[in-house]
Amino acid sequence: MRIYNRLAVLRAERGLTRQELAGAVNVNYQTIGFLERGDYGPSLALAFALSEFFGVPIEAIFSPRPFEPLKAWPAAGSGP
Amino acid sequence: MRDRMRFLGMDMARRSNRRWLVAVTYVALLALGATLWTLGGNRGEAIAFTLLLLVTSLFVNQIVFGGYGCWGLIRPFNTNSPLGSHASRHNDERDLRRRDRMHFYAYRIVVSLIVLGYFLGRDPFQHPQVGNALLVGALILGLTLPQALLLWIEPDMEFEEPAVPEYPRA
Repeated sequence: MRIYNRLAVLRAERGLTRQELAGAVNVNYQTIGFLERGDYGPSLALAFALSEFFGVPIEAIFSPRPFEPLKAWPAAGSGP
Repeated sequence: MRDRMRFLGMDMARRSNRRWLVAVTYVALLALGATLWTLGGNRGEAIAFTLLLLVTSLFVNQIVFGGYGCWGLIRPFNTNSPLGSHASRHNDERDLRRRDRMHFYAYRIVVSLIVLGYFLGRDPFQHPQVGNALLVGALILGLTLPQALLLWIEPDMEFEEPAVPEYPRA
């Protein structure tokens, strides 16, 4: 089953290199590249480690369905 | 890191170079096997030549393809280096999963060759030479194929941080 993720966005938001993120979750930085490109589905342990590192729930990082791009979301204050 | 991935001047971080290495090595092994096959006359020579192929396969396993040796080409796949030259690189879960899978594929092929060779050398087929050739082939592949598959399948290795993060494909 294909697992989509927001790792690249989260990493860019925090200004981290792959090396730094890889060191934080104890994997090789090439594995971060595989994860970001969607070429590798992480174990539950790695998913939890990433969730803990970024301080967001797992479902905010990984999803079985493609994430909607942020620009598709209604702009703040534009609602009724 | 990239400097340690060089073999005979070729950048082994690139998959295309690794595939060339695998192809050329197996062609060379095939040529060696065929040459010994034509030279082999009696039983003693056949055993000696089989041992020579075994030693050559061990050399390919440890030096050319890397594999389990600390001096091997695919050093990152070696978890604990006695030399300590790349202690920062360990096998993570993706590396181990890929390595396990390649061993599974390789030994499935090897077992198939052994079974085929065994039956071809006996009734009702009675092709002992073909059976023996397959068994020797299984011996060579059993020592080299897992590493060869890893070299063949692993994508280009990245060593530099991309300037812009790559976003997941939709």
